[in-house]
Amino acid sequence: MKAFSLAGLLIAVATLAETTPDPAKLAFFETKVRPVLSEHCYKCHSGIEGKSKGDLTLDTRGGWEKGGEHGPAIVPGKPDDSVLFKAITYTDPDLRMPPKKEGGKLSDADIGILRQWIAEGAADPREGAGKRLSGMTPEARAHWAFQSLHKPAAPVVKDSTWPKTDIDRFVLAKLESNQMTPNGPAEKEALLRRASYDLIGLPPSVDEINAFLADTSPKAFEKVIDRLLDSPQYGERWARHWLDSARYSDTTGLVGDGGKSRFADYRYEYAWTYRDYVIRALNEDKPYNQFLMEQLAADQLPGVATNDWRLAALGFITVGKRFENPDDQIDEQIDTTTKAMLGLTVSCARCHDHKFDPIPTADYYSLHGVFANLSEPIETPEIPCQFDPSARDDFEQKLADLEKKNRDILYSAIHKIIADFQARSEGYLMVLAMKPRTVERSDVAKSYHVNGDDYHVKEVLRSIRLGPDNPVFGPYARLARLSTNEFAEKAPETLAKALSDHKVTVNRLVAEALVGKKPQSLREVAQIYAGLMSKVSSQTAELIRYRRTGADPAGFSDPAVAELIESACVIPSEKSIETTEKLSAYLSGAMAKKSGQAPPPFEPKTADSFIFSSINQLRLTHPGAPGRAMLVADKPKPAESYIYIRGNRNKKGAAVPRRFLEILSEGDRQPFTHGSGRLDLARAIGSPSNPLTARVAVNRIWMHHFGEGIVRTADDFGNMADKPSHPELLDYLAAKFIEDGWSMKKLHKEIMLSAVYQLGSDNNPAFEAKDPGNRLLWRANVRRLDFEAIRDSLVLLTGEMDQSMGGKPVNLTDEPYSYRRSIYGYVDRRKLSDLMSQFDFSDPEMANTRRISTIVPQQALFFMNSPMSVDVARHVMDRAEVGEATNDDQRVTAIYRVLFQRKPQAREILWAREFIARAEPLHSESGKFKLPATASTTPRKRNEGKKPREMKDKYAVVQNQGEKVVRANLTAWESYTQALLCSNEFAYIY
Amino acid sequence: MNFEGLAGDCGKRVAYRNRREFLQRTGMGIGGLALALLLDETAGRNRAMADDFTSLLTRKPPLPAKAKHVIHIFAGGAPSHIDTFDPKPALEKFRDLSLPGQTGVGFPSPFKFLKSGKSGLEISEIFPQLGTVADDLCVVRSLYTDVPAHGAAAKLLHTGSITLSRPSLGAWTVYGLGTENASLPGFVSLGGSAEWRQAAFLPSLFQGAKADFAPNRPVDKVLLNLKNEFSTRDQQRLQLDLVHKLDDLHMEKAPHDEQLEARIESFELAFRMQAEAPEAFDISKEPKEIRDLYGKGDLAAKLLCARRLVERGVRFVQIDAGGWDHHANLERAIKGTAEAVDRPAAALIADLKNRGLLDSTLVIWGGEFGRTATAPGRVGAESGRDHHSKCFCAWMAGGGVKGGTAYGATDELGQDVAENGVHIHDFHATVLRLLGFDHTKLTYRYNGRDFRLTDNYGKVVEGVIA
Repeated sequence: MKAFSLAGLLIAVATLAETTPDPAKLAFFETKVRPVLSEHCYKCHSGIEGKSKGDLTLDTRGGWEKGGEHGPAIVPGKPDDSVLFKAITYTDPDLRMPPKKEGGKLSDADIGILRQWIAEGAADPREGAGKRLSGMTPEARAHWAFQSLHKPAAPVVKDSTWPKTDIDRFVLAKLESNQMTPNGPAEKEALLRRASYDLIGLPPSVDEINAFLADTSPKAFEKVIDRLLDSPQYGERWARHWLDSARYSDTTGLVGDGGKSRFADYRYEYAWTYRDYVIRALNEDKPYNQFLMEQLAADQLPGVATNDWRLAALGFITVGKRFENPDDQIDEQIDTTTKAMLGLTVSCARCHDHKFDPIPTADYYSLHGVFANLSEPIETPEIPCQFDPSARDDFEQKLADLEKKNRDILYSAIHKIIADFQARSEGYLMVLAMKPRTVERSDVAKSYHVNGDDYHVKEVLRSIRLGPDNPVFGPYARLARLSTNEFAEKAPETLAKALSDHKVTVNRLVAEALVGKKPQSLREVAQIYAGLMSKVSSQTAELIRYRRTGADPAGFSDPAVAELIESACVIPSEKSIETTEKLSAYLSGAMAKKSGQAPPPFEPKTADSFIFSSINQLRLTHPGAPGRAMLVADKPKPAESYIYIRGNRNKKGAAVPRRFLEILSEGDRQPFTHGSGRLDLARAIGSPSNPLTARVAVNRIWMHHFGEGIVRTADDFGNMADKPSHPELLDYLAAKFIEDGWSMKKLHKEIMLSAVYQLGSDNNPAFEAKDPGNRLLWRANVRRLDFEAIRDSLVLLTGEMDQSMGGKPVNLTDEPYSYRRSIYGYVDRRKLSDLMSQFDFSDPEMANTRRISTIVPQQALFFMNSPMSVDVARHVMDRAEVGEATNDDQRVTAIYRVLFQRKPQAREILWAREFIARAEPLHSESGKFKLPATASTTPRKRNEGKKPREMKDKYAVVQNQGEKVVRANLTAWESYTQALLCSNEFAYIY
Repeated sequence: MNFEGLAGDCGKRVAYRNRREFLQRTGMGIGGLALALLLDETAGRNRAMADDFTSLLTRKPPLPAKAKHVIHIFAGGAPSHIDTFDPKPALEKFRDLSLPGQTGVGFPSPFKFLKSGKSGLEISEIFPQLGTVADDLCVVRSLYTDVPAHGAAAKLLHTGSITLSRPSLGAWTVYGLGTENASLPGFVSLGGSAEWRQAAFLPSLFQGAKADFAPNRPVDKVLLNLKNEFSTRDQQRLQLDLVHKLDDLHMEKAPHDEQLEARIESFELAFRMQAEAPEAFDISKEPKEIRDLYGKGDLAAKLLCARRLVERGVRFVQIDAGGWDHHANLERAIKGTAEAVDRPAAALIADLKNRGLLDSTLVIWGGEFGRTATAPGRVGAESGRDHHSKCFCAWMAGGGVKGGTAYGATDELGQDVAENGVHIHDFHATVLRLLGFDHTKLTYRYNGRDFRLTDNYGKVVEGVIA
């Protein structure tokens, strides 16, 4: 558990250091004293956990000051006079703490710590400064973001000419009170570029620019906004922002040394259907609260059919990182849901009450109860989505072939276990009769050549069940308990008992072989079994065929034969494992829980021979593969969760009802009533009276338009949040958002029609000195394009952008390149593409809406050297409008129009001429230029030599079809175009 | 942006009209400027909420410290402590006998331990060369970790977390100290999982760069997009000259913003990196006697390369030196694994020392956990050891550690920590301390929480610090 609990502590140290006089003492308290108290005392003396034995609590300063039955527990400065110290030193025979049953006397080191602490005055921040150390205080509750939302009136401003909308009045009022004035408006071209990138993630076309420049009507910009909002590319841009919040990834991130992850591919086969849902929902301008509710409970909302596209919304819950431990899984879901939807860090309350926000541990476990009562159905519904139905038959055929191959692997592995046991059953039985990991056993194993290091032998050994009640091996198991000395004497009696035990039906053939026998040694018995096994071994293949087909040509009318064969390993019916999902459930043991069908104990080598990854590869790449919703369902009998004391599931506290967070609830909180409570939770989050949902949403939208939010901590609106720069504006926007039916598109328009959105980005040294972060919005921020916008722009320049929407993910960064938009990129949360992380792609590990933006030389290397940038430069030269140019000046002009959507200045044309003049000799000497010998078509070797093949398969990325970029020297003109791609103009909006 | 630090004008932001003016007024050489400009500009823009650690600019750590660089040789697979640096002669009494509370039988090490150096540090005979630098080694014999599973334990060792995505030790190091050479990545990984070099939520500035390095592989493609396969250097120079003209023109009409300046610098830096990085990775440039000192093979090349990188200012080099998962045939197999690292590691320490770099370079060798004192059956040539997380060992050298010492101890049979246990969190706290940081204060605010390498845990092991 150690690694999972949270680090509220160090925040406390850092913040207290600012506000109290002696940080060293407080640090001592936090690092030394608090752990001792919480480890050894809180169990019985904690107000928050409701334990106050002897009327004493030790989890607040007030607790020990007031003291319990024995009066104040601590006299600061005087350890020897302090009741607490007497108790822990066991000086008073009637008061010894902690008592024996709770672990007994503290270590000398711990006692020394408490002594020093008391002697130095018992500095204790757990009150007074408690506003920051416990969220359970009135001050923490009074935090602005938890207060209900009211729409403030726009303030009166001195300059009434500048504001275009109420938004501007809020902004201007702040500027005026700081004796500042806003910049002038942006140039029209800059504004269009800004609006276009903001709404659709792509630059405007030349025609669009010309149209906008020509349109002098007052509604010109509004028309632009409407056009962009109506474009389906709007959803492709804004879905990506939400996918950051929803920690979207195409992979589970779970690659264990074992466990269930072995029998499923590491990639989600249908994550993309969730991504496509988000795009469509945004394009349809689905009311934002409805959008959230569908992601938690689409299946329970009225009017959603069993194959409805909206079911894919549920992917929100399960598309996150996977854990073997279910509590970690639930924690991940609580964390994402509350950060993404509420801007709250609820998962901080997993082990203790939230240190800053009024979120008690009990509330965490109320939500735990919701997610703990979810299951993922093995079969999920096919939903309408982007795929090629004409290729479906081909897909189904290929899938059926692969699935059959996978089952063949299973049956042949089972066959191998059974056959090996049958061939050497004497040895196996002798070995199994001995205590594991002893010299004796290893000697016996050696003599029978049953080497325990062999993975295959291990599988056989683990597969045989030597229980006394086993119908086949029961008699052997009972005999094996006899010691060597008494064996001959006691064996007949033991055997007779075993065969006549009414509780067990011993296999008929076994009974016949053993009845009346007087074995002298266990070995003799093992040999009898070996004889039996050898007799039935010829029928093993037949039985497997029978289990697979259900046809019974060999006449397994005698179930005793089948039982003997399957004593080594039970053969599942093919019907029960016919789909990949069922096979995966069977192999991972999930079926065992339901139907008792335990999987064979495969060792990693066998486990890795299955081809789940190839099957997934097919599903993820075949155009005819349909999509399915990543469904969740409520468990039939939902149960309440217990509080885990300090996050430890073995220390259960009280059960808590499933219900919403207290701080966000009005009046008397009611327990959730629908199944797991997902629907109730969804409604509580989407309620207009929820003070957080709308505020968090409008802040994010604002952030994506301005580069910064009004609250910069986009996913944390709690007490540790950044102070809002314009609190009234935030509330105004949030209230307006709800008023407008939670319409994101209306909000975009409202924001973009303001004068502040349309500001120029010129610098003003005086204002910059005053407000370096531009918090007051006197200018527009200069922003580097994010990864998607850069790549999408490059793809657009090729003139070959694939504008189709939706469908399976493509590889964004490796050759052969895809020309699809970046939203359709494959995102591997465990191994994010290096290029993507170099360009600050959001870490898909957890909800994270605000991207950072770095400048590193690796980014420059991408523009200078990557085949992608070369590919773009070449494509630009191949474009018709460039090719049609009849002289150099025309060509430069054409290139500028494609790249920058403007005419080149005279100087720029001049530089182009100079460049070409100097570059051409270099390029004509291309005899000097050596092409890399193997670079053109040979695919790069991966995992050279070291890793086994199945590993490679298991972690395969998605690869695109197509050609690699030809490795040949650039022409002077291609070189010129590539240089333009490297310029700042290309990569920034301002 | 951290311009105020450069301008020596704390708390005040100075605006510069252009790059030249900036250079003039800050009196900075191009190298320092380039470093300062490689940064997380969003954090810069929001200086109010960000701390100062958002560029690659070289920083002095808050506490006095010697180590400025780290070479982490990760012995993945979990080396047996009993056969390497933690002699357990008492196991001999239990050969082939059940150990109390254990399954399996006592498996004494088939190897002799030799008292080495002036210090008499005991080292297994499978490391004859390391014996020659024994007086520089500080062996920690009382490490312990949380789980005996490779993936999870290795992740804990590299990132401080078993399951969650957290910044790696190298990323924290560069975050804390910046780098000394902007023409090379501050954190280079010579192999290993992507998780071990990730920056996670730290700005990508601090992520380990994967170097596709191996002996005899061309060095010009060692980093992603390092090699241009389409233009000559002359052609590219021409391109960049044009880019600068365009950018200068652009800045005349575009608003002044430091980001734009920074991006211009980043292209020059990249241009230099193309030349300097291959040189840094090119071990054929080393004199023969040095190459001979390290010996032959993959690890020899990697450790020699690590030295070249550190010498050029790279802050953290990570090397995957695995193969220690000896479940069977330990006696034969471990010799080979040890041999592969023995000479190169000894050479690295000696070489660093000769160059006066050992004091400022912390070399770490160790795996993710240890191995059992028992074998599954009768002890023989085919015997091996299973996973064991309750105790294991590692060594450090240089960087201000106490050489010629063994810190902590396991019990008589090497099954558990007997004194001075060092959890991975403690180990991390200690490495950060050797680099000049209080591990509780090297934090990064992300999504409403201050994160640190050691989570809520960790205590500095003072006993290993000289």
